[in-house]
Amino acid sequence: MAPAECGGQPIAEIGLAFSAQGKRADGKLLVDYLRWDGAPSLTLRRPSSDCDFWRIAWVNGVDFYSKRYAPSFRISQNRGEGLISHGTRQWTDYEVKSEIAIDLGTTAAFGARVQGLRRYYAVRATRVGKLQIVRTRDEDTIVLAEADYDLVFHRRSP
Amino acid sequence: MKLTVAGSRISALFDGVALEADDTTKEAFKDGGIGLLIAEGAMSTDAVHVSGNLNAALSNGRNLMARGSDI
Repeated sequence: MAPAECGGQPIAEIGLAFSAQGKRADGKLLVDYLRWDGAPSLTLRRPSSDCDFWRIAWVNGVDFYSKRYAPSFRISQNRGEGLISHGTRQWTDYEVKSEIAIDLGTTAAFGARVQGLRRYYAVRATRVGKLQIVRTRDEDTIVLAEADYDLVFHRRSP
Repeated sequence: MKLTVAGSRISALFDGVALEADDTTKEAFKDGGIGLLIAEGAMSTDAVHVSGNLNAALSNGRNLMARGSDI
C-alpha cells in the first residue's frame, strides 16, 4: 500500500483509524503487525500551509538553502560542492523526476542512492559541456557514462 | 530530468539527453536517498517526484532510454 500524498509534508507517525456505520461497535481488533519499508511513491514540495518540517526533513549540506524562494527548493554553494538529501538506506530501486533550473555553477546534479556528502550516484551537467552519470565515493568521482551537453543557465530543464 | 536506479543500472534522461550506466563494481551503491547537488553556483526545482514502484521504475527506465534518441 503506497502512502497517501501529504501535500509535501513529511510523515512523522503512522497509525490505524477505524469507523463503523452504527452508533457503536463492539469487539476486538487484532493487529498482527504494522510496518513500512522500501522507497515511497510521493511528491516532495513546499506545502501550502506555513511550516518548516518539509524543509528540515532534508539533510542540509549547502551554504544556503532558501526558505521562501518561489520554487520549493533552491540551493546555492560558494565553494566546492554542496548537496541536500532526503531518504534512507531502505530506498533501493526507484525513479526520481524533477524539473531543475541551474542559475550558475561548475556542475549541477541530481543524486540517487545518496548515502552522504561524498557517497552517491548523480546525473550532472557540467559547465565544460558534458552530461555525466557519476559515482562519487569519498575522494573519488568516477564518470560512468558521458555525453556532450550544452548547459544553459536560467532555463528549466525537463 | 529523470534518474532511475534499478539493480546495478543507472539511467538518466536530462533535457532530452539519455545516459545509462551499469555499475557492478564492489564500490557500487545499493541504496540511499535522493539529492540535489550544486558546485559553486545555484539551482532550484519546485517539486521532486519519487516513485518506489520497482516495476514502474524499470518500465520508465526502459521507456526513457528508448525515447531518448527521439527527443
